[in-house]
Amino acid sequence: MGEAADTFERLSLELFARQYKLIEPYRRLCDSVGITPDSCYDWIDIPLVPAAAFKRYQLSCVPPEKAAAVYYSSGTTRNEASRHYMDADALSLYRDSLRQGFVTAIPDAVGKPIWALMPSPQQMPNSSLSAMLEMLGAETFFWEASHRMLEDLTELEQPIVLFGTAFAFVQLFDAVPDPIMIPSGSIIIETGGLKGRTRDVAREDLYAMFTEHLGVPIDNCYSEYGMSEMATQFYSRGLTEPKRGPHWVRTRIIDPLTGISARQGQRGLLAHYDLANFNSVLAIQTEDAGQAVISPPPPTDKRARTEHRRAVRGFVLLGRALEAELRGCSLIAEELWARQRPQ
Amino acid sequence: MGSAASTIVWEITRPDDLAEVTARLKSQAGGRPAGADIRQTLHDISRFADLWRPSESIWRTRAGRIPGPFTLRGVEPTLHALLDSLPSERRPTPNWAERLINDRMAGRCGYPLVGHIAASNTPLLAWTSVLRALLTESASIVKLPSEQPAISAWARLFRDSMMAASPRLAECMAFVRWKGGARTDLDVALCETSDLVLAYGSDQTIAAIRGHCAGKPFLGYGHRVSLAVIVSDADFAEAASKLALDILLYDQSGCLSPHTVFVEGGVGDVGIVSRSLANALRVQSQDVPAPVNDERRRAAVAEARSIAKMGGLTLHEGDNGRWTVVQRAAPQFTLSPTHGVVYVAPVAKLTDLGPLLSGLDGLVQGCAVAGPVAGAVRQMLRSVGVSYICEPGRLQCPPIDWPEDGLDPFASIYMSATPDPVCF
Repeated sequence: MGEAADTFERLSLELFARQYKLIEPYRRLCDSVGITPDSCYDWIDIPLVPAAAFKRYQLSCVPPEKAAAVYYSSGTTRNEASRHYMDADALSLYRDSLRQGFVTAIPDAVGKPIWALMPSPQQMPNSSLSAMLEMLGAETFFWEASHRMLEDLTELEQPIVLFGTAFAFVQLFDAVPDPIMIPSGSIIIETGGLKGRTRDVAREDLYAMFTEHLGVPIDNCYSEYGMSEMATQFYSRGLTEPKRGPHWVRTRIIDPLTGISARQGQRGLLAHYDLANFNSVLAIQTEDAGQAVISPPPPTDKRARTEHRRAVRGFVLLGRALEAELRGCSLIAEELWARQRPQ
Repeated sequence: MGSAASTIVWEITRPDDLAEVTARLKSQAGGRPAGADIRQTLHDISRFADLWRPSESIWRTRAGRIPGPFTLRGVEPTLHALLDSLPSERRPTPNWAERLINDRMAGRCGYPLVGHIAASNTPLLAWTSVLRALLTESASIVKLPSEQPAISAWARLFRDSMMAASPRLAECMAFVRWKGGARTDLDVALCETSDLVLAYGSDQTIAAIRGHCAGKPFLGYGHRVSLAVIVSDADFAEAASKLALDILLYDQSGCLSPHTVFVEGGVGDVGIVSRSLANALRVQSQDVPAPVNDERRRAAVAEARSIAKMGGLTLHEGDNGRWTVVQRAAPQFTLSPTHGVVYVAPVAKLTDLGPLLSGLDGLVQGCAVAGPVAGAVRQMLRSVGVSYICEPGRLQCPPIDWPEDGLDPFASIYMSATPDPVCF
């Protein structure tokens, strides 16, 4: 544990130095708060970039035109979307990290075919989620509750992993109210929120639908939390487990103004330090509120106990602190932001 | 639900409760709720204003006990301006009142019952809206935001003081709140029972309420933004000092709160104004009550600051996120996340403002102007939709006859008018 912590510290500071050097807007931010690679000795001091900055600036170590891939956030027009540029190295790391993270979080998924309930990469070439599922080896993508999908689901003979947006699952259940019992041992992974998209569906109700409509018990249902601005994903099992990420990402729950960590049981905003964000920025201040779930540290490892005070081992998502609608205007604000000339 | 005599803000749980309040309101107010004589109404409203005008007034004392975020100190400039614009026995009849008298003589009057959906960011909005309805002889049922008890406190004071001035007018208004938070069924019931619906709030709220008013007269006042202009001849420090109040009040969330301050001149002038503004904000924020400094506010301020720093902009930052001044080099209107975040930008000459603001057509509401400007500049501001031009320090002080969103506030709610549904 101590060695792993040292490795994370070392790599995060090296990556910070690289990103500071090569990404001008990030360097400006760091200089303005007086934290540079020369003065930073602790990963928690690495300046955080708000996720919204991915909409305003090209946060890329390589010139954007040389990026191997660019992923846009969903649900907005292209002008207002976050853009996450990945060079070839970052893309390779992304592929390896998401596979490793997936099999570590959901070992029961290994060896099972993956079906994706979302647009394919061909339909949405700039969707990180679609790309992720392709990299995980999804056999097929279903975006609409088509007759073919229903037939295929009904004719399944072996368990699968059904990975879809929560929105897509609700659409499926609305379109096909009769149960389609998929083989025992199948796994459901849902991602994305539901509020305001179609009708409000509580997470508990959605998971009950997984059991009622697909025959998948809650213990075989997982939630994935990720964002286009971040390479790494977090998973949780069932309804009560917290979200956890792999060892190359650290999460803090903080006050976004002061950067001070929230006390245990106190809510704050999630800040992630993701070593897989190789080409962009590793330290991301999200707009998501959360609460820490800190597991007891190993009793003998002093360094681990120190790490535990600074990073959470798991967290519960509590919703967005900043709604999509800015105070002032909603769609109008997005239009105005889009018209802002970059500095 | 509460007894009629004591209840000022009704907690509504069912549509039947709302129907009961409405029926009681209609029976108390009679066939022509505010009375047939507009002059009597003007007189009664002047008595109401007279109760509030003295600094030692018991009503001000009671208002002084209202806790944040809408304390008396934070509301006072708006209150003063509203009271100043109301009739007084000691002053000539205002022009708008003369017009109302003439309109009444011509047989124009408002709807029997106006339903108001009050916003949660400015407590005196309900006062202004109800006063206008009374002046067009309409009764009012006002839905207050559930999540802002301070707004209910101001509503209670309004009705209590109106009762002291004119029981007749006080009985023409009822304030309601949905118990348990947002309730679409109750919103629908309110719209159905009202003859005209006036809604204030976010564009989403306006759209939702508008959806409940199919075929019914409806006026929606959605979000708007405001700005300020400091001409080269103006006293920069004085202008900045006055603008600080406009920014701090209501945590910059009102439609008359300035988002960007344009300075006629160059980058150097922007720096001077920015520093003056920062100094003024630092001092005045001690007096103007801090808003609820919750996670959402802190996140918005932190994000705005970081994004500005990433753009290489110079910032002046108040403690604990209370205010932020961002200096821009480019002549550009910048939308603020509010919460005291204001942008200061140069404009080489005032005639350049027209093209700069053309993208805001339909969005902009108010403009504070420091220094002398030609009539052509004022005309240009009006052409992009500015409905309220004033000097710095007065943005949050519109009079009762302010043509919000470009609409005559009285004529637009007459029964003979066809209100244009204004949403965005």
